[in-house]
Amino acid sequence: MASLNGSPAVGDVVLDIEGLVVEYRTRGSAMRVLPGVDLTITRGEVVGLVGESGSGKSTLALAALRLLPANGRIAAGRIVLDGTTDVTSVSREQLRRLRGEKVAMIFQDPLTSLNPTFKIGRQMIDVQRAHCGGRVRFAERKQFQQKATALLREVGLPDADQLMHSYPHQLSGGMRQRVMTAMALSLEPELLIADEPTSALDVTTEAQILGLLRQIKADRDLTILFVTHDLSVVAEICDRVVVMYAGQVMEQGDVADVFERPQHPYTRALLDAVPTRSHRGQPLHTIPGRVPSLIGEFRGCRFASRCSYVQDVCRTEEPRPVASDSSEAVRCHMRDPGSAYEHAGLSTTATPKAVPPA
Amino acid sequence: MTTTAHDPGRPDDTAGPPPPPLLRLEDLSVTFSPDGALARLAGNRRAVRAVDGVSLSVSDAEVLGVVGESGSGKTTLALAALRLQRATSGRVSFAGADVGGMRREAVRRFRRDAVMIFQDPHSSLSPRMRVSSLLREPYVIHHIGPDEQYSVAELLRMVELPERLADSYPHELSGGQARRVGIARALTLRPRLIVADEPTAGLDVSAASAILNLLQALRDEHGTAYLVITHALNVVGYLADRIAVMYLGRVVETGAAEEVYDNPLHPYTRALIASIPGMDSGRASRQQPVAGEIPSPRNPPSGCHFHPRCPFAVDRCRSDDPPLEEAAPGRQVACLRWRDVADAGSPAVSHGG
Repeated sequence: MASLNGSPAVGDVVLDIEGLVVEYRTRGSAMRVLPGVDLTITRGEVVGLVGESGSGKSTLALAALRLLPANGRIAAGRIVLDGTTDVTSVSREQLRRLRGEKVAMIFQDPLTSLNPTFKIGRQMIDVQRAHCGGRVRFAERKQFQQKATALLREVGLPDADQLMHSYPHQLSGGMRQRVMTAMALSLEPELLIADEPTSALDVTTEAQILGLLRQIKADRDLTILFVTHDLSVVAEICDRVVVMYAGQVMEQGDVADVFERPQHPYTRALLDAVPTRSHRGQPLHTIPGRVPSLIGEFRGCRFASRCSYVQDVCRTEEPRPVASDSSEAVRCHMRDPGSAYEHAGLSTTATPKAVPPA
Repeated sequence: MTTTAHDPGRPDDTAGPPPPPLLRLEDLSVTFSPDGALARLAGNRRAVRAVDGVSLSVSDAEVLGVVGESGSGKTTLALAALRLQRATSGRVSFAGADVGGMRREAVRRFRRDAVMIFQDPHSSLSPRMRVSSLLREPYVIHHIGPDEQYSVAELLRMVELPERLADSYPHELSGGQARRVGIARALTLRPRLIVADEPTAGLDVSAASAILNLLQALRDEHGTAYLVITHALNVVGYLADRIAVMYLGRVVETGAAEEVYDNPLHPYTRALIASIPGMDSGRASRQQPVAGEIPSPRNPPSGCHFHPRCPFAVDRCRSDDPPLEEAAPGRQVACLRWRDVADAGSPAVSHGG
């Protein structure tokens, strides 16, 4: 359904999230995990969504497919696929088709995503069958089988025929992640959302899976949203990076630019905390404090309590996203010439320090 | 065959024979044999050599990093070193005493001097005890008088946790905080050796860095020796003085951390370094990551265990077991072709930071 007329061009918007508000109900209070997030992903991009635990990055990924847990709900906003379909308002049946055909997802732990009691082949075929509607004739079954083995080979599992008869527990972690990827590709999605797909793997296997994703991305013209807490993985595979903190996008831009000249203090701090050999003998940078609790109202910048550049304005006024140097958008008073922040050197251009009460 | 503990950075003003290393493993092997009716029925008679003739040592205030993929036997090695897993053969000695032959009182003393920080802090802290009780428990177990005890407040300060957490239960702690409580518990007994299994696994980058800083500071302050088990080479590169690389139960390379990192001699070490994602390496210069996966230890390949994945493998590697030989002082490698590997230049990692 809803396939595009003609060939999709690179540069089209595949996913457009606007003002997305997600809330979780927790013992009486509502926790606003995403307070209104905007995110645009264009065709052919690999976008890295990074942040600490509690930053809302997984919530954003799940919300894109309406896969939120039962106590979560999309309170406001739009999630538009291909410029045509709003995920937040489609019917259940449409949603069922969207999942897999337009957008597919792979998770951190393939063992919990695969059914332990069915063979790989059965599960690979089930995905295709669920999306062809109605009953399946023998010939089609045969077709599904062929497609399944072809996909398994494509993801680097040469013993595909034998693998079809294996159970998930008989495979290694790396092989399971490959199977998950093959399954995700079964219905030729345009967008692949990968939620920490390599976090549980050894470095060598991680390198292989990243290589695989790069390969299928090139072969299939796939768009990838890569959710991870690991900045080195972002440096490795992503074109664009989106840094989240406490539910907000703090900075986004080209990976090379942002990593070279981070504009937000939080991005800077995250990058500095990565242990590298050049750090030997000196203490690593850390970010004091914790991600704030999302219960209740926020005032000012969400990062203010942990920021080493914090000023009064940061505690009272929420910064707006502005373009700055290497970043497409950064949410920091320091980078906003229009803000009441006392910009070192250019404080004359800034408005006088008159902070309206929030 | 034993790696001699050698640290040029430490003043050695004692004349005469050097003291024995704090922890010494000699030709240590741990074999798991399937037994019982079920294994017989399944026809599963093959023993698994999780640790296969490993010799290593750790000196006072030294950090030895043991690196390898899952299945390389590194955790079993740690457990055997602490007598938490019986060794099938070989010897573990601690401060010169044979750990395997220790009697009750000696074991009790050993448990005070050599402690472990487990990988998953939440599952190693009793969910029904408050942090304060968790931190006092070791004193009760070891009958330690009040004058030798740290107070709960002191312990929390050492691991940089706020004092108010003393009344918390483990489920109220974040991953990083629980890890710190685990470290504080290990510190209660003023051990001489701490074995840390994946100390930063599952933590955010900032929390992981804080834990690494903490371990480093504690070692500087108390002179504690560490055996750090990890698959994350950057963790070891940051913390360790020496590195031992394990593959399928065997040590394939050891040496000073910078040397192993900058000039790996074993193809497997090269592969591990080339696999580290990210910032240190240029994406353009990236080589193909090592192919394949670590084979089952139930049925290890013949000859050099690494040969099926090794880009340097020749026929000889399939039949001959490479011995761990001295490539340079304090540097050992188990590869028939290490000279050729060394000549091939460094793997695809730039040396910039």
